[in-house]
Amino acid sequence: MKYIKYILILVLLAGMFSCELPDNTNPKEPAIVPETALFTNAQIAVINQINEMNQNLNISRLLAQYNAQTTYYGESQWNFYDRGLPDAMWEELYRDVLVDFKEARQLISENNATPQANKDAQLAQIDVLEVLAYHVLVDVNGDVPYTDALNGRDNPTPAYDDAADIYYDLIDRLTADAAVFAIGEGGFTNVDVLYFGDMDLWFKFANSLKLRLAMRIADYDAASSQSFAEEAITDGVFADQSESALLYYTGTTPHVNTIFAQMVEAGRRDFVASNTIVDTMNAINDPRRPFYFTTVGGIFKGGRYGYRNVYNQCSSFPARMRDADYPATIIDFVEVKFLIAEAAARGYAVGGGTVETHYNEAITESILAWGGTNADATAYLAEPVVGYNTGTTAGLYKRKIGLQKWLALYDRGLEGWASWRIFDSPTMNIARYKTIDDIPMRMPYPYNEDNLNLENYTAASAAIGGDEVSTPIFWDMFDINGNPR
Amino acid sequence: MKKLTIFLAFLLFVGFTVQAQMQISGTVTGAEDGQPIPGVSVVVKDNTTIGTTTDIDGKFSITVPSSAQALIFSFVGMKSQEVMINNRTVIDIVIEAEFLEMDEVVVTALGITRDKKALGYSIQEISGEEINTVRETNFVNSLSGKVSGVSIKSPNTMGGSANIVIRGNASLLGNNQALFVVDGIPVDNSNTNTADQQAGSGGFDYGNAASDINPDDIESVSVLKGAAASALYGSRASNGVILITTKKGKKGKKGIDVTVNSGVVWSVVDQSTMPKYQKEYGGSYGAYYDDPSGYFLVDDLDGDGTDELICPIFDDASWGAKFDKNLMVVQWDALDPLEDNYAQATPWVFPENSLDSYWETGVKYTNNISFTGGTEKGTFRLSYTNVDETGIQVNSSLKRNTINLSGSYDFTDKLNVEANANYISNENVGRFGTGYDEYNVMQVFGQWFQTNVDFEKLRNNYKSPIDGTHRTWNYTDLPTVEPLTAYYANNPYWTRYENYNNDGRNRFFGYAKLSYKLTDWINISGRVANDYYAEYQEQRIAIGSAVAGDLPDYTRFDRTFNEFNADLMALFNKELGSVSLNGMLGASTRSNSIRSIQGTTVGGLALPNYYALDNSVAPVVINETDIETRINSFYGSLSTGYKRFVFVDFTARYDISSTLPEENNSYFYPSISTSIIVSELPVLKSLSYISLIKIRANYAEVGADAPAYNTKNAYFVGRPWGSLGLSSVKSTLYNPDLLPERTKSVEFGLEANFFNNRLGFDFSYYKNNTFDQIMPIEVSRPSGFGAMYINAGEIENKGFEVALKGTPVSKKDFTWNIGVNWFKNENMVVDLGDDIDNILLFSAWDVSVNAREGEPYGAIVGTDFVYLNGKKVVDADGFYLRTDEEKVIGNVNPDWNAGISNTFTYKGFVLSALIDIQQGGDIYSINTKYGQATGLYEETAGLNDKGNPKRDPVADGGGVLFEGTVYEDGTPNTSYVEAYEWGLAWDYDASPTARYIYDASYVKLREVTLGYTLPKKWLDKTFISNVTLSFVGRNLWIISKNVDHFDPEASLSSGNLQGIESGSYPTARTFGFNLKLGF
Repeated sequence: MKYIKYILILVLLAGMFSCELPDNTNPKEPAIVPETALFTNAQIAVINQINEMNQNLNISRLLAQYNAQTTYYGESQWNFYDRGLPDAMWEELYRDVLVDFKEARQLISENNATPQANKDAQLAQIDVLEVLAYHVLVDVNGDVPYTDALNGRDNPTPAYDDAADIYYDLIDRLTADAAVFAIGEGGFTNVDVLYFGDMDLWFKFANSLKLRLAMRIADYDAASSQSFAEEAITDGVFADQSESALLYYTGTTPHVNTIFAQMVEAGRRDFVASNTIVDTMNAINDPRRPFYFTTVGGIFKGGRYGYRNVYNQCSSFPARMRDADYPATIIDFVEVKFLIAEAAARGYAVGGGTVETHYNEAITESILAWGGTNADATAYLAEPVVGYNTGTTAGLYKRKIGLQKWLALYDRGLEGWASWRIFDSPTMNIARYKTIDDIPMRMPYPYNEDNLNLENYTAASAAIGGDEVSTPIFWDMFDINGNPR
Repeated sequence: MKKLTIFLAFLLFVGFTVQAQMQISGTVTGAEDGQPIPGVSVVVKDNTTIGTTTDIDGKFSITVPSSAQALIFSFVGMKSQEVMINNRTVIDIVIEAEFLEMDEVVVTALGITRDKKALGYSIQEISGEEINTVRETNFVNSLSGKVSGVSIKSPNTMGGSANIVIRGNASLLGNNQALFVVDGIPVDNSNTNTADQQAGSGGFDYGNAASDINPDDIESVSVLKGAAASALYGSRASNGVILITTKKGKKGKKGIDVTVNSGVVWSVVDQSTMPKYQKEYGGSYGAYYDDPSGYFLVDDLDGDGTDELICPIFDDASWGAKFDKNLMVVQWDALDPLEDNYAQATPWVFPENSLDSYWETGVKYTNNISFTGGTEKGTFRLSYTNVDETGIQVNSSLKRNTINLSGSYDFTDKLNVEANANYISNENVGRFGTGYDEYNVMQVFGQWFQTNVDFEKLRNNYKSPIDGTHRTWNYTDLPTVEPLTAYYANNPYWTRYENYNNDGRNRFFGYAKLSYKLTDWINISGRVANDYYAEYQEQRIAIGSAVAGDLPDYTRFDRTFNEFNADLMALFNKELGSVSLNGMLGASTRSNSIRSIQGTTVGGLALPNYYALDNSVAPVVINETDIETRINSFYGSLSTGYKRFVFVDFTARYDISSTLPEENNSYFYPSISTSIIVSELPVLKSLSYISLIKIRANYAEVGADAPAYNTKNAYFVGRPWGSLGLSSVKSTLYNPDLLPERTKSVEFGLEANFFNNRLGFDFSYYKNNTFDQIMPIEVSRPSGFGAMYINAGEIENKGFEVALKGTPVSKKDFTWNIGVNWFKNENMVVDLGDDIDNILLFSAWDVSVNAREGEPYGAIVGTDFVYLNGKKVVDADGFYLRTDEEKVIGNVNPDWNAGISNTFTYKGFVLSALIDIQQGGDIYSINTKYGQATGLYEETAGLNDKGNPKRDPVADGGGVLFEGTVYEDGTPNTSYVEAYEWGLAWDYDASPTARYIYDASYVKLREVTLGYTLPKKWLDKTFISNVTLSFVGRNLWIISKNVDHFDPEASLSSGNLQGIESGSYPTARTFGFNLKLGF
C-alpha cells in the first residue's frame, strides 16, 4: 500500500480546494464613493442632455428649426420612431441624472462630517437641478412619472403624474430652495461646476428658473403665474449676463461642447443652419448672424428645413461655437429680460420699466452677449419688424417677444421649441411630405414604455388626450395660429 | 475537509469481496488494421449480466461462472462475435467492421464509456472521421445537420463565432450555448464580441473559443442533449454538452504510426446570397441637382471654360440618372486634381466590375502530422496541425498552429498516470467587420451605395498614388469646394487595408490524472485540469477615413482567461448476482479568472500610420475587468442494471458558488434515468426481425448560479472633470437576495432496430422548464434604472427528435446508408414574474426581439401591416398602412430542422452527402430595408405591371402598385406609388416593420465528400500503409430559400440575439481535396 500516500495527497488537495470562496465584489467598481462625485456627475449630465445635439439623443435644435439636415433628414421630418429618441431623453434624465441626485441626497444624509446648514444648501443645489430635469421632461412629454419615480426595485413601473401638478410642485421647490440659499451657508463648492458654491448666484438661478416656470403657465393659470413671477422678480433674478447659468466645458473629451463633439470631433456634416432662422434674420438684418452662422459665397444661406440639403451649400455653426470649451447655457440674463418683458406685457408688476424698455434691453443684451455692439443693437431696433411698437405686429407682445426670444435662444433647442409653442411665433416651415398638423407640439412617450410600463403608459396617454405629437402640453393653450385651442 | 469525510464513509460503505470463478483474458483487434480496439463489450452468452469492456489496449479480463459456454464480443461499427470458451483462459479475437451495430458503446459524462443500451437519456455520437475529413476552421460548424436537436448558426465571417444551442434557449438572458468538454475537461467557449457587435450595431466577430479545438485530434464527439445526461458537469451543462474524445496512442503496438492528413479547400462566394443590384440607374438620391436632368452636379472643374457633368458623389444611393453609354460623366475616380485623369468624363454605365468582382477566392491549407505509439506500459500521441487560411476579402488571413501531446503510463498494475496537453496559437489579420458599422463593407454594398461604381477602380485607387491620401467614391464635396474628404463611406479597400484589425490567442489546456486501482472494483482517481489563454485584439481607423464615421482611432484589448478544475473521484463497479452496480463519488472545485484591459484613443490620432495608445489626441480611455469566481461541488452517481434488461441511474450534485449571496449560495440537484430493453422480453426476443427495442425515461434538475458581482451595491466611475472625480449609480440594479436558478427536465425515448439492424429509429420527447432565472431585466427608466437583477420567470422548451437510420442496400461491394435527423423544438416563455410581461433582448431602429409572456423566446416585435380579410391595406395614395401598436410580427424559432445524409460505399469509394433543412423561423433584414430605400436593389428598377419603367412618374404610367392590397373600404388597390427617388415606394420610415421580415427557411446541400482508399495490395511494397484521397465540399448549393439578397442563415454572432440580419456577408462555397496517408 505504498501508493496510499498518493491518495492521501489527493484527498488533502481536494480538501484545500474546497476551502475559501472569493468575495463577490468587483475590484473595478468602487463600493463607496463621495456624494460630491455623484453631484458633479449629475450636474454635468443634466446640462449635457439639455444642450445635446446628437440626433440619437436630442433633436430639439431641429424641432425649434434652428438647424436643418443634409442627406438624412428623417428627424427634421419629425420622425421620432426610427431612432427611439423619446427613449433616449428619459434614459438620460431619469437613469443618468435624477437617480444620481437621489443617491447623492442619501449619501449627504448619511455623512456626519457635514454641518446641517451645509447639508441643507447641498440638498437645495441638488433640488434646483432636479427641478430643471423635471421641467424639461414635462415640457417635452406632458404627464411624466414624478412622485412614483426613482424607487428602483420598490416600483419598477411608476405611475405618471399630472403635468400641471408637477409644475406647481417644481415652483414650490424653487421657492424653498431660494430660501435656503438666502441663508448663505455654503453647499457644494469646488465640485459645483456651475457657480462654485456661490450661494448668491444659486439664489438668483433658482429665482430665474422660477420666473421661467411661472411665465410658462401664464396662459394656463394667469393668477398663479403672476404671483409666482412677481415673487421671483421681487426676490431677485439675474441682473447681469455674467450671472447667467453657463457651463464652461474643460475642453478635454468627453467634457466638450456637443457642437464640437458632433461637428468637429465626429466630423458630422448632417446639420446646417435652417432657412427658418436664416431667412428671418436676413430679412431684418440681424447683427447676430456672423456669430450664429458661417457664410456661403458671402451670404447667409439656410438649408431648407425638412428637406435634403448639401452641407457646403448652406451656412453652419461658426468657428467659436465649434470650440471644445464653448459653454452650454441653461438660463441666462437675456432670457430673464424676455421673461420680464412678457410679464410686463401681461400686466404683472415687474418693478418698473415698460414692456418696450425690457424688450429692447433683452435684445440689446443678446446682441452684446453674442459679440455685437450697442450700435448694432440700436440699428437693429430701428428695423420696423424688430421695434416693439413698429411694423405690422406693433405692440403684439406674443408676436414681438415670440420672434425675438426665439431668435435669442438660438443655441438652446429645448427653450426655443418651448418658446415657439407658447407664442406660436414665428411661422415654422413644414417638412417634405408633411402638413401643418404634423408639426410636433410634444414628443411621444418612449417606445419602451408600452413594453415595460404598459398600464401606466396607457393611463397617461389617455389623460393627456392621446400619445400623439399633436397633443399640446398643458401650458400650450393656443394653437399654431394663435387661436385658443 | 469535507472530502476526507466522504472518502472515509465511502471506504466503510464498501466492505465485501467477490467470489472468483474463472478468469478469462485476451485482446480484441480489428480485422482491418490489426489494431487493438478499446471499449469492446464482452459479455457471457446466456448470462448478459456478466460483462466487461476492453481497455485502451484492447485487453479484457472477465470472471465468468464455470457454466459459461461462450463470450459475445460487440463494438460500435463492428460485427458481433460469439466465441466458444472451451476452457480457454486466454481468448484473442479479431472482429470485423459492420455498418450497423448491436451494442453501441458511447462516451458519457466524465469520460466514462457506457453501453448505450443502458442509458436512460438521449445521446448521439459522431465519429472523428466525419469532422476531420471536411475540416472546418471552426469545428462547431461541422456538427450542423448531423445531430438532432442541435441548432448551429454562424455568420459568414472568416473564423466567425458559431452559435450552438441544444434543445432551444432555456435561459432568458444568460448563456444558452452548449458546454464543450474535451477528454473530461470543460473548455471555454466564450466569445469576446461586444454587446454592440452581437446586437448588430457594429464591431468585429472574433469567433468563439471552441474553435481552438482541433478537428484532427478528435476521435469522436458525443452530444449529451438533456439535463440528465449532463447533471454531473454542473449548471453549465444544462444547455447540453458536446463531449469530445481525442485520439490517443495504443498500448503494445510495435513501432510508431505516422499519419499525415493534408487538405486544401477554396472558398468562392455563392452569388445567390449576395445583394442583387439594379443595373439601369446610377448614383444619386434623386433629381435634386444643377443640370437639366437634375441628376448631376455641374461645374467647370478643369477651368477650360466648359462645364462638366459630375456624379453627385456625396449621395450614397442609386436613385440617379438612367445609364446611357453615350452620356459622359465625371465620376469619383476623376476628381483628384493631382491626377492625370482629373475631370475626365467616362460613360455613365453599369460597371464591368461590380460587386461580384470584389470577392477573393479564399484558400485554406490544413496540414496535420501525428505520431502515435506505445509500449506494454504506456502510450503517447503527438500531433501537430497547421491551418493557413485566407478569406474572401483582401487582407484577411488566419493562421493556427496546434500541438497536442497525450500519453499514459502504468507505474504498476494499479497505478496509472495520464496527461494531455494542448497548445494552440492563433494569429489573425483582417477579421470581417459586422453589423451596421463603417468597418463592415457590407453595410456599404448591401445598403448605401452607387451602382455605377466600378470595383476595379476602387481596388486600384483606394489611395492617391501621389500623396497616399484616401480616395473613395463618396466625398463630402467637389475638390473645387473643399479638399477631397471621404464622407460616409470609405473605399472598401481602404477599409480592408488601412482600417484593419488583427488579433491573436495563445492557449494552453490540458490535464494530468492519476488513478489507482484500490481493489478490482474500486478505482480512485485525481485530476487537475487547466484551460488558460491570453488574447489580444487591435483595431484601427486611419487618418483620412470617412468623416461621418468615428474619429481616427486605435483600440487595444488584452484579455486572459483561466479556468482551473480539480476532481477527486472514486469509481466502483460491482456485480451482485443478476444486478450490476457501478457508480462514483466525487468532489471538485472550479475557479475562473478573467482579467482584461482595453485602451482606446480619444479625440483622434496625432500622427498618421502610427497605431499605439500614446498616439491619442486626448487622454486614453481605459477599461479594466477583473473577475474571480469559484464553485465547489460534491457529486455522485449510481447505475444499476438488472439482467441487462432494466437499468436505472441516479445522479446528485451539490454546488457552492461564490456568485450568489452567502446565505443562499449552495444548491443540490438530482437526476434519475431508466432504460428498459423491451426486446429482451421472451415474447419479442423470438422475433428475428426485431434487433432492439428500448424505452427510456429520465427526470433531472439542474441548479445554476449568477453572473459575478451582482449581489452588492457598487458605483460606476466616469472620466474625471479636470481633477474632479465623477461617479454614478450603476444603470443595472444589483440584488442581494438572489437565489439559484433551477431547470427541471423530463425526457422519454424509444429506440428500435429491425432486420438485423438495417433499419432503426430513435425517438425522443423532452420538456425542460427553467425557473427563477437570474437576469437583468430591462425596466421603465423612470424607476431610475435601465435594468435590475431579478429571480423570476419560467421558460419552457419541449420538443421531438427523431433519428432514422437505414441500410437499403448491403451487398459485398456496395452499401447504401441513409440517416435522417429531424427535430422540432417548441419554446414558450411561460412566465416572467410579477409586473413583467416582456423582456427586451434587443432593439434597434423600429424592431425589437423579445421574450414575451405567452410567446416563444425571440418574438420579433414592430409595427405590422394592417390587414382586411387577409389582405394588406393601403391608404388612399396606395401606400401601406401600418398598425399604431407594435405587435409580434415574427419569431426567430424555426418550426423544425432536419438533416439527411446518404452514404454510398463501393469498394474503396465512399460518397456521402448531407442535406440540411430549416423550416420556418423569421429574420428581419436591415440590408433589404436600406438597400431598397437607396434604390440599390433590383426590385427598385425595371418595369411595373403595366410594362412601364417603375421609376417613371405615375402620371406617365410609372410607379409601383403594391400587389394584392386593398383600400380601407376593402376595394382593390389601384393607386400606383411613385418610385423615382429616395423615400417613396420604398420609404422605410413610413413602412410597417413587417415589410422587412422574411421567412428564414432553407434547404442546403451542406456537405459532400467523395473519398477513395487505395487497395492495400497496391501499397504492399511501399512504406506507406494506407492512402485515402477525398474531395470535400461544404455549402455547395442552397437548394431552396425564400430571401433574395442574403443567406437566411445569416447571423450576427453567437449569443441569444438571433433573427436580425444586418450587413451580412455572402456565404462561401468551399470545396477542395484532402489526402490522408498512414505510414
